[in-house]
Amino acid sequence: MNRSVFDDPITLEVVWGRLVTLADEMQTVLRRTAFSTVVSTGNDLGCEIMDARAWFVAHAVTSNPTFNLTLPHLTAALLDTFPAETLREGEVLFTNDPWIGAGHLPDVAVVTPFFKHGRVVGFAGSIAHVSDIGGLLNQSEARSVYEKGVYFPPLKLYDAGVRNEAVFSTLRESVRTPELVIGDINAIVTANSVAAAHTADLLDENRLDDLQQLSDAVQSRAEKAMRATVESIPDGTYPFELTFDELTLGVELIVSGSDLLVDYVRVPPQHPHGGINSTLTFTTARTTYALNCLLTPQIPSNQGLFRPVRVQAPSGSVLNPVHPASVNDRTKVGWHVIPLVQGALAGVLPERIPAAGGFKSSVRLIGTGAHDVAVSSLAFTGGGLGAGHGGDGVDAICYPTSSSSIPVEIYETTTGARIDRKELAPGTAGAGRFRGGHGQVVTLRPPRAGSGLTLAAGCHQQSHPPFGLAGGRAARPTEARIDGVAVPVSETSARLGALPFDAGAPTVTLHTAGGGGHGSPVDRPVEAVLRDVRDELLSVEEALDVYGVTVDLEALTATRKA
Amino acid sequence: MAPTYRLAFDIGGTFTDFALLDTETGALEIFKCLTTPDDPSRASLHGSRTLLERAGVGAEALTNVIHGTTLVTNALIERKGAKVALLTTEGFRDTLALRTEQRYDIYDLALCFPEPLVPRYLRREIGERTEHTGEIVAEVREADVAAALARIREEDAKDRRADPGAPELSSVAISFLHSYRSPENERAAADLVRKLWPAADISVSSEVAPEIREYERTSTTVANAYVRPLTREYLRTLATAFAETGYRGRLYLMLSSGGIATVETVSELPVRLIESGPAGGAIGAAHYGGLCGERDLIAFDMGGTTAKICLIEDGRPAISHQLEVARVHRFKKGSGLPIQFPSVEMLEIGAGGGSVAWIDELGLLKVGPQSAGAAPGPACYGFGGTLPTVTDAALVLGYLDPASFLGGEMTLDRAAAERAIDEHVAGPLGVSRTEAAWGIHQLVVENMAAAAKLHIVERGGDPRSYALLASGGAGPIHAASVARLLGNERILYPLAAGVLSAIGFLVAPVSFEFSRSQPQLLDTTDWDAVGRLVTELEEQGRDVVAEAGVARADVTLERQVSARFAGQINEISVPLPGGELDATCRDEVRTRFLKAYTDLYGHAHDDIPVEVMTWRVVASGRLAEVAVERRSARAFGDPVPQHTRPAYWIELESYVDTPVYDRYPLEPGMNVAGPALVEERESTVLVAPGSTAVVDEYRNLVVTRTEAQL
Repeated sequence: MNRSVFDDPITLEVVWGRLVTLADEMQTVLRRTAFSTVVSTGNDLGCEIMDARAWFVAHAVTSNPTFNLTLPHLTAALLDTFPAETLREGEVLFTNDPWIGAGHLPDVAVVTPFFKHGRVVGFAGSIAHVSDIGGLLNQSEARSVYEKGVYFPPLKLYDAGVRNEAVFSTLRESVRTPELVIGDINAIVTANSVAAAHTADLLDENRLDDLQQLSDAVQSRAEKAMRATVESIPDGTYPFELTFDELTLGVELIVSGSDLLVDYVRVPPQHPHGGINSTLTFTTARTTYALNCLLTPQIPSNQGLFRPVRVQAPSGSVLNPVHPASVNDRTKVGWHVIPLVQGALAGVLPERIPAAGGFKSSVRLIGTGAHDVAVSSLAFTGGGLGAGHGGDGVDAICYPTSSSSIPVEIYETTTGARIDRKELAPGTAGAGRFRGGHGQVVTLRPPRAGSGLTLAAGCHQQSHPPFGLAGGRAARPTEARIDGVAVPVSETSARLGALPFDAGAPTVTLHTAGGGGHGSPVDRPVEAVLRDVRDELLSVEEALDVYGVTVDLEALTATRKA
Repeated sequence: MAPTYRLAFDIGGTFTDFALLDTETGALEIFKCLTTPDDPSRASLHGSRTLLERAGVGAEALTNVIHGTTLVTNALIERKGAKVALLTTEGFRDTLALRTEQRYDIYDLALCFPEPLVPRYLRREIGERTEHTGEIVAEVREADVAAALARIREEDAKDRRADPGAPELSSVAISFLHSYRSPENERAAADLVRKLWPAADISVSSEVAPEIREYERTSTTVANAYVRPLTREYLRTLATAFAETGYRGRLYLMLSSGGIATVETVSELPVRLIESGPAGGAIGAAHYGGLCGERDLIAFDMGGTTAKICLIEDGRPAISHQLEVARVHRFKKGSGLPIQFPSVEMLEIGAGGGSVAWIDELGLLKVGPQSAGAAPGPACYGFGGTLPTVTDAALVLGYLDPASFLGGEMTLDRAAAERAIDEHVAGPLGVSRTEAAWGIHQLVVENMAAAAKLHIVERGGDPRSYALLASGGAGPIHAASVARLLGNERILYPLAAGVLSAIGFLVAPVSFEFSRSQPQLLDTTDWDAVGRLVTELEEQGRDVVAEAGVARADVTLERQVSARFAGQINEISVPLPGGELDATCRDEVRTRFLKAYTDLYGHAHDDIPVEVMTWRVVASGRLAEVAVERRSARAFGDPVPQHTRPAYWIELESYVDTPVYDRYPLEPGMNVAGPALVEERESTVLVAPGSTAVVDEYRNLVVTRTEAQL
């Protein structure tokens, strides 16, 4: 490689750090100007800065990892349609194609090139989840992507600085709450253009012609670090199989020197309906996210980090479906690659891999709320995290995304619906020397006066709970109930995919899954068992049966039979 | 008339700072001594007596005594508060444990949050319910409350049987859903607790923080219950001690909001003391900014472990209603306990003189957030530290004088600093010692500037339109570089920067905020009800401020409402019109909201309804006008440097023999041209090549920067 100013590690850290700050600023601008709560509060967005080859150099620190890891691939695909040398100032590229983007239509992507001396020197790119993209209300009924909403192949959103009105007028007539959706897209355009302008300034300040040298320096260091990590794992094939919600997925992690192949094998064919198919872009993004968490949690993700990693899945399968498969609920399958990778690595890296975590559930309310205000609310209810080798899993947390819950008081005020209870669910944590986090139970009741709401619940891990490791037990699975009566897994999407939620409708209760336990329960300190019993999160009987601990709640003593 | 004085002191973790102001002449005396953590009143009295002796007067000459303390913050961080029980709405026992459900680090699967201040077995449910409209659909029943209390006391008795040394539970928090809207159920429950358990100390959410968002409100209420017993005890001890000195006035305390209040008010709501020291610093900074004609200011305070940044806009510190304390990971937002009440908005960054430089997994240089603190401290302190810190870099770059640090009380070991940098940075990175030292300096500055820039962008501002004010031991050394990155033209170095908080206490008004959430659409707002609510809040505010010694007629009232577009989750604050609130206010409030929204975000929406959420009133008034001594500029010409020493200037890309001035003899009107170093007791002001420093009539140093030729 040629000599570069970034051979100096201090210069590299300074300039890279500034670029990361620009990406953070981009996210800040987007969150602050976005309209829908999914973006502004749910933080369901990704922002990054790429070089002219569409390799990503910096992303906002807290943005959605799936989006970060998707953007370079997406940008490269946009450049196939609009080659870099044909791009001009004032052009902005746009798509929501699930096969090149983040895997479903509501995730819209905007990529803005920036220039120096008339030449493209990089891109500011963002993906955000807009609040609606049209299509069926009950997305679980869709049999193909045609029923999922408006589909924009790669196109120019702006040309020579002029807005492509066709996109906006189409949206205005095709989606619910168009003002929110268009507001969000405008926010992305603004955020990108701020970042593009500031990155161009950064190049000037540092007397750089483009981002290439910086990008090369960052990527090669990250690649080296990941290679060293992979190399520390003995060569071999590490298989794992996971069954959930009537599907079984198999993976083989193949380590060969410093290369890692994640090969999804025994994957069912793509599903004819229900939108559970995960495009290869989503599958890959989720896989590399898992590897980042498990192997290199301290290294900010960038493309070089994953150069030693290859992800493959059979074409036409649920992990690599072909057009026009329905893909809206891709997390139903796509999230499960995380426990798959965890399971595969657990045997060889026992001290680094935590037990499987409980995924969050979602409830979408759409329609008209109090005072005829349009409601389009997506609320999340977290599960419990898996226990690690050094501590209990955290209770009730939005995993595996970067989102948060909505305060009950805000939720009730905004939607008019009522939450009867929202609390930790006792007994949901997987037992172990370190126990998993607890899931929670939340009960929703429709508004008392008439309104026009429809409820759609999204649940995971209903039939097969998050697993434990190293002798730790599995957690309790997710459960959905209507008026207190459990809904079988097979009926969940039919009955909770689009439930009219007007006055008089039944209550809906979700029990989210806990996290798996780590290590044998008989090794758990008796004081920790006593504390959970006293906190009414574990029964006296379970303490004895599972942990072998006799708890005396009067004397506050706990003893384990020798 | 005999001279009168105001006295202020700030009890910090290490030092207690004092400032005594002659109300007649504006002359200021300052003093610093070590804090006495076992009984903070000891150091307080020692410092007060020292300053009074200097002034040659007794305690009866004091008109006001104002102080701030880290007591409440420390109690929360160190978990040294009272044992607390919590009564909640049935079905919502775990509000404290559920938090916001957001991960503060998405790559860390071993997250760790603070334990709730009340364990689950002491969180008991009451079968009551208020709707979001305020309608009470289930009233509090005595039997429920009695059963909950019996259970709590039984559990407490068990704890004390199992561990005879365990503290007795006597503090009860009550937080029910939607109590900001209708406090009746909480009040009924509080009455029952009082009747059934007269000794209990009760904190009620609709009194402590009557705002929407159950987690933040409950967290705040519980924190209040947690610190109230010890705060009362502390304030009693201090009041007694001051009474014995002959002081006849009242004791005031600095609140997190930047206003002061009486001991009596604070004893009820001690949780409002959390950021009292830093709030004083912000008020002090705003005061000096005003003297220098800078109403928009970045107050930049850099100490041993952290840097704090606070924005002063139009002469007032930015206020936030969301504060987080006792984080598990100090610099990770979301890993602490949220507190919901007005507080000077403070950005804290892991960048201080003690921040350690290290090499990360990618072979890149990083600085902080780990700090060597005071022990073992920077390598150059010679207390056994071997890791290179920001202070070590400053020494190697020639910014500090090894012989005159802390006025010569402490000698710095330059060789140790060089060794640490060579071994841990220069060697591993393959760069020269100078490059390594400059790299450390540069990176810590980059970290602070990046954080400040984001913070300003989040508020819709432009960093270049602010002046920078530097304080703290490491502030003056780094301010010039931070200003260069942020594009600030002027940098202010106040003379009394070492006791900025105490100065802030002296000049702060009496001020208190009352608020209540009552969410509704602006278009259908019941203005009669709002008018009554705001009047009630104003009466409360006027009472508290008047009770503190301000004439009722001199109390000023500011009204605000937080508003958002219906469907959004976060609100912004909008000033309300004065006078009678009625339906004619609707358009005015909408216009003001749209303007505030556009200022922040660059655009607004015409077609979406506006929702008004929380009504607030800030009541304030001054106990006395405060003037600071000023000296007119005399034509002294340029000062003469004491000596020269080599210092590194990036503008010149080399060490240059640089003139060094002692700050204290500099007189108003004097100019110092860069490159130059102006030494203070605890720090050094860097005047970069191309910049000029002028001493103003208050003896502040004002540096005007010209764009560096980088």
